[in-house]
Amino acid sequence: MKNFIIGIGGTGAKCLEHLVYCCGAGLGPSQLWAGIIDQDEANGNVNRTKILLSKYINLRNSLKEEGKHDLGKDSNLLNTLIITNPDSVWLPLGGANPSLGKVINYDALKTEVQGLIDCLYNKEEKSQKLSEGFRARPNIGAVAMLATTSNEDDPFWAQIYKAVELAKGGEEVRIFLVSSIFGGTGASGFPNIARRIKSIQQKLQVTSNLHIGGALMLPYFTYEVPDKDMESEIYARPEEFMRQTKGALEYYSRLFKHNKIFDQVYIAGWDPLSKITNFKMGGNLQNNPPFFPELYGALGALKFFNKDNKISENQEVLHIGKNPTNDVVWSDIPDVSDELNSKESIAQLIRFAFSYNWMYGPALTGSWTKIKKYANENWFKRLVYKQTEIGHENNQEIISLMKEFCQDILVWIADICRSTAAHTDQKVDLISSDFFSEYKPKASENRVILKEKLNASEKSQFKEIITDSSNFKLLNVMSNVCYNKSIKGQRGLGVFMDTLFRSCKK
Amino acid sequence: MDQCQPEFTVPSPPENLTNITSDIKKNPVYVFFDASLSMKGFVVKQPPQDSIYIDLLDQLTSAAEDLGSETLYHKFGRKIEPLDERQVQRMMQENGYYCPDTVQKCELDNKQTRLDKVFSAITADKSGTFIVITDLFISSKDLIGTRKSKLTNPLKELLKQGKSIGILGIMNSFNGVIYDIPTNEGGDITYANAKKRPFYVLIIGDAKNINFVKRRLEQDSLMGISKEIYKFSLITSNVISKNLNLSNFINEESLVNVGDHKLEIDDNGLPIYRFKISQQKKIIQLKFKNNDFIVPDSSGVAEYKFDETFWRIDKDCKNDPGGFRKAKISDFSITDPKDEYLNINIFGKDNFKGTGLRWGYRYFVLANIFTAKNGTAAVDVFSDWDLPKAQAQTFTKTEPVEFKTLNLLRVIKTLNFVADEEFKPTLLASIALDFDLEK
Amino acid sequence: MNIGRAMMSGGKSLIVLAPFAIISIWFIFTLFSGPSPSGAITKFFITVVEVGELEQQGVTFSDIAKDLFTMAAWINIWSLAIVTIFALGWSFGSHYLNVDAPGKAKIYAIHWIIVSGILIGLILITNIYCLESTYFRASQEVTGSGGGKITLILTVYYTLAYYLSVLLGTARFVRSSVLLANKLPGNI
Repeated sequence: MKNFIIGIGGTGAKCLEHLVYCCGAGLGPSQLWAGIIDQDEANGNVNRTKILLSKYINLRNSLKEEGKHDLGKDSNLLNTLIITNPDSVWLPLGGANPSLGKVINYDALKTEVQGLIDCLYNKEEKSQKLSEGFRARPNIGAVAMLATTSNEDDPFWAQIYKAVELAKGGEEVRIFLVSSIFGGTGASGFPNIARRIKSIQQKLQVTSNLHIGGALMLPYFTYEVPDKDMESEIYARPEEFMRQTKGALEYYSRLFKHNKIFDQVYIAGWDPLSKITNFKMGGNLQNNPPFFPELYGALGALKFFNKDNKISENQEVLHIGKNPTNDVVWSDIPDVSDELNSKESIAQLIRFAFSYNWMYGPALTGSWTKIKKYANENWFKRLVYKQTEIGHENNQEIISLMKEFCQDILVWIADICRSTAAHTDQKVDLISSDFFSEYKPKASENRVILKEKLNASEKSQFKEIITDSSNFKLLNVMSNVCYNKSIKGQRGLGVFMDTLFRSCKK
Repeated sequence: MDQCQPEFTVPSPPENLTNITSDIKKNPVYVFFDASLSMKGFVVKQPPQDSIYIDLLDQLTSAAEDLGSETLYHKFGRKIEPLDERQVQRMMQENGYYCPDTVQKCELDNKQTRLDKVFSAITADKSGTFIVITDLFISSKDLIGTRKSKLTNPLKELLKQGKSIGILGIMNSFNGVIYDIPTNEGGDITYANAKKRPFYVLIIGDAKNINFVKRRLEQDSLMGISKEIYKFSLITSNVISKNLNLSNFINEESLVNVGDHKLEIDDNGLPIYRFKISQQKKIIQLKFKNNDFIVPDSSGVAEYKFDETFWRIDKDCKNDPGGFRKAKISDFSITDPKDEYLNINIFGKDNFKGTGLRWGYRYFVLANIFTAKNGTAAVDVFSDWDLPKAQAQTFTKTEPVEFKTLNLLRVIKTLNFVADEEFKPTLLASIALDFDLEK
Repeated sequence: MNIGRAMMSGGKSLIVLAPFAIISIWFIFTLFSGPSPSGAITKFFITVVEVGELEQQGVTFSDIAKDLFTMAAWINIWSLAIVTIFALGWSFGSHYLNVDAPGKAKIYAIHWIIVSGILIGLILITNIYCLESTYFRASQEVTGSGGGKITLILTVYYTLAYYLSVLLGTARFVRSSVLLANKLPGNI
């Protein structure tokens, strides 16, 4: 089975970020192609996801280096082979900074057509530069999407064509789109990209094996726009999100009724809305924190891709929600399948990240002269010393990459819990993060600062990191590391990494 | 405890002590008066000085009459001469010491107090009781060589038979001349200025007879007399008057320092103490009163010896097929005389640990206690009245009012020596201990 | 904590302890069955008692041998019990030592030394108590040097049993705390 995911817009990119972490935890399919569609090339969220994708792929490739390291085919750690184009982001209007007028070549249009355009778009909208996205104007976005061709030579669309041809060849292909239902790029891209794929399918006369799914994020955050200097600007106004959502839902209702484009659509929203405290219109300054509802979008995609998910003949619309109280707990995270327990896998990943970052990573970092003091310890002898030359530069690089990835995981989950609930009555009770990090809500970057080192008391709070009263301690991790057998086929650093990951499972 | 016991034999109690004559009137009494001139001064009164000499002689004769089947009187000096009643009376007067012979013969007679002849005469009737009244002023030459042998040999015979010599000394008024005081140059001098000097009553015979006479005198003329004036000592080869087994002086109270215990007398009269004792106690102590078994006024016992052994068996002796194991250690107890008591410390030599006794076992001890050496009490008693030959002249020159007896201690020591020679260890008691030694 | 692993450790410990225990139990039964006149055990015990003193008492070795053998049997019983408790206790309990990070295991060497010291102390106390106190009658028969010999032999034997059993039974992640245990292959 081949899987393709396209995150459309900022929300799509953020959902994709969550999805990458979930794939790191073993919740993803064995293979996945990932792409992002966003006109706002420099968008901070998109960049963050791009960087994460790159780290994930790089790390996974390092730990799957033939002849040197191998996590093993049965390892859940970084299980999913994620593939992207060299540039994982596709800009609908690539190149210089066009305006809508330029895109539709307004000046060359007939007068009556110009008149029609004038009815649909005001002057600001026609002249709005589109390099930082469609600013919650799906009417602009839709035009931009439709104006571009699905060029088979375009690297992005080449993948879509390839997907459809694979389906024609008899392989099952699943394509998933995720975006917000409100806003600009997502709202406009979701139905139009889906239609575009459908048209390619029809063009190549593919009638089976191709399934399209999607996750639509209803409004789940809000922000306060400073009045000063914003009067003449076009930007996504949060007070219009509900109205836009209402309109979009009516549209999709009619669409799904008359036109089966999607096989499965996952809908998710949030109440009360999470608050973004530092509003930015777009570009690299728009670096919104990860929010919990975006995890629903990611899990919806993973569920769609899961081999146990039987795609029905009929179109399905699935709604993901949480418990009615203001507390977000682990049971609010749905399982990807009967075999893949999302909570356990994510918790395992978090514990792994903690253990590696503060306990084992530092022990493996440095020259052999520094590391050899652990040479007599069982875990080291069994899992590291016999497997590879740990002090070697290449191995140290992998150690470092994994440490970075683990830090990203910890920052991600801490940020979700803090930012989702910040300035609201909500409480996201998934992990305790105070003892290993500091939260700065007003910062646009580095909201979560991890502590460099932890003292004994802080380390002992590891058992409380996942708020499930499991009393799973670092001692348990160490014991598991020493006793878990390595899996056949593993090599090099893959032995230790996977063993440590498995040891973090309760 | 059950009645398991090892096999052993107990020595028989001593015969001498068992053959005590109950009829004191059975045998004659012989009285010998020292008729030397030195004795005259005792009968010459010199008021206000008190003299009990005559009274004492009176009571002595009376006691003698009561003591024996018949009383035979003699006087002695150079030779022994019998006395009739009238002559006996004269011995209490000045004229009893009158010598009718020539001056030379009388002088010779005066110089010789042939006590040896008296002792020889004693051996003629070994069953009798002999009373000798003398000043015991014996010259040194009579205490060496043949003369001494003549003195000691008869006594050996007597002491061998279990007889005793009681020496009664009284510091009495004296109004006369003391003759034959030796000088350093080898001659002798006299002294007439003494107001007091001691005379002695030697009573030779059975200890019981000696005590009879002594008691009679003490009830009368010697009553209330202080120890400075009246002294008594008994010299005997056997100072044990009673075997404790036969005299039933061994009782429950005799065993001290042990706690609860039982006393049983077996068919052979052996007292067996049965008890339990802790190893911490160190010793087991038996306590007997000296007066119960030592001849009164005798020199007592200086040393005791033990003929003893012990056996060991498991506490439950019926389940111990090996039976009693007899120890090779046979010298483990000691006596500890204290004042008027004899304390016998069984295992007192090394206490329990030193003998290797082990708690948890049962022990059976058989202890036969013998006298090993007589004491020398008499020497101490009379030491005040002794006048050694070397000091005689010097002492006389001091013009003493109270004179002493020449060579007194030499005489007593000689008598003691003879008694020691004839000493035979006497079985004082046979006692058995049957005890469980506990932690 | 994984009870299964702790039980496995206990099991490994028991496996190593088993040969020592078998020998010890055989020895105990032999002692309880009583002395044989010419046996090696009898010959050994003759060297540890004061035979001369016994002769003084009119007692032979055979008179005290049964008591002596019984005492020796009990010393072995208590020593074996102590070693078993300590070996299993350490093996089981090592899984609960807070070795939660690399490099921490060797800190618990102090704990192991203390536990081992207590074990040796208890074995010595057991020996000394039986041989010097008034608990056994036969203790009076053993000489000072003989008691020292018995104590030394038993202490060495049971300490060795304990050491070898904890060598294998200690939790893998704590092995650095036990002398030479980290030389064992990692998968044992």
